[in-house]
Amino acid sequence: MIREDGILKKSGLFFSILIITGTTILAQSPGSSWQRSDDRAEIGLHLFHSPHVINLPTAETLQKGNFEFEISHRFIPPFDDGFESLYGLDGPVNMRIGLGYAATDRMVVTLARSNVLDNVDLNLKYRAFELDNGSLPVLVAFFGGISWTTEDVFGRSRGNSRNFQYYVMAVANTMFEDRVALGVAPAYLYNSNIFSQDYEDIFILGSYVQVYVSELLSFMMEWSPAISNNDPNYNSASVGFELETGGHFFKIFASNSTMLNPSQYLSGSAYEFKSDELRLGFMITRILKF
Amino acid sequence: MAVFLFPGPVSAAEYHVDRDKDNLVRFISDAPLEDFEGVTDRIDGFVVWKGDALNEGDSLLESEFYFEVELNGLDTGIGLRNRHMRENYLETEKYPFTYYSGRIQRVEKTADGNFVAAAQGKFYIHGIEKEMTIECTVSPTESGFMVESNFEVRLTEFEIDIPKLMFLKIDENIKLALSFYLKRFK
Repeated sequence: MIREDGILKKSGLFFSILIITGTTILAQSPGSSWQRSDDRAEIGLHLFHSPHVINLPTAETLQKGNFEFEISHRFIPPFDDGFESLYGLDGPVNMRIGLGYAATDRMVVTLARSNVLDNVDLNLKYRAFELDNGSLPVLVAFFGGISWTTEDVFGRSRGNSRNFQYYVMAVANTMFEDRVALGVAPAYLYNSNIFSQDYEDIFILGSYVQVYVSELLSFMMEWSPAISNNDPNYNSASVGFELETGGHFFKIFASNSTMLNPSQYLSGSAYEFKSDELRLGFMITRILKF
Repeated sequence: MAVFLFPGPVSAAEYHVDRDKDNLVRFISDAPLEDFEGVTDRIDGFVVWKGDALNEGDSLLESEFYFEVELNGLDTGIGLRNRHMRENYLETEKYPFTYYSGRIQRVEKTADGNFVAAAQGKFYIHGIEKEMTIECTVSPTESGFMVESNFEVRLTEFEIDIPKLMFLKIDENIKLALSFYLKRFK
């Protein structure tokens, strides 16, 4: 307790007055038996700054009562198409809008929609536990959800069970020197290919790293390799940077994936991760409190 | 431990912050584009003076007070903003407390039975200490007093950065509004 700056200076001040003015101070300054209590404000463990990397979630949640509004784009033409399509910015674009709500300090519920097959996504992230032993802090969250493809697929009814996909993910994060944050996010997606004859599923070992270089700027990379056999596509990977403000995150990145909702990006990408197949994308989130 | 034993036979009044009451420390940042405030109830400390009753007069010069606020308790309503405030600006890992410590300089009784007190002391935050005179209103309660005070702190005087990030505007002059309860200790 004595090492804490406030009280150290305070007693320093008191004792220096004592020394300077001698014993007369005792009459003038009767002193107090007050003591600082051991009770301290709980701030919890915070590693990644944003609840998201690019596609993959971090274990970070929001403060109870906060909303998070998200708007994201993936530009479909590859960057390599050059100026003719304004490096992809001409579009067309895949997009997602979402709204998350923190029911508690540990739990965020998010409802989002992507224009890719008019996919509606409802998910929940729960910050399960943290280990803060100083050298290797660990934060673990569970993430899971259901998505519903509402666009016409093969003329089947919207409510057809093949239009529903389910996923679960465990998210573990750590951080070194307050700058380099790492995460792994093993995931399982059921009904990974809504177009196939039979139900398929897929296991993904999501992983990512983010390096915070200043209060404003960080760089991140994520990779979602499939670790099961049901993978007809390429593994999706993304690399980009993030700008952070009081309530916003702006993320700009290049990716071989044009998918946004979890059930869609977890099933892999149609494009290989190589320079002429990369697409630009962005994600903007705003934390709101009403 | 900040234990200062009462040394002499002189009668003294000692009051501690009553942490069971609804104490409120509030700061207001009133920037043109975005104004926000932060609140905490984590104020603690004491005041002692020679004599017994709170009266106008010389005995109050022989007084001492120390009030501190735990900065990690500040909540602006948005978790991310709290984190920026703690990590980037107040640096609470290094400087977890702010305090104001000194002597009561003057007490005047007001018509409604309350007191207006002026304090002279050192205000400390972010590793920097500055002389400040702060006025407060002191109202008697059943178990002691309620203290209310409003004053301003200029962030640059305490070497607290003004964020230059886009969309995060903070007023250089932070208004502080405190109201807290004191309970008779002896």
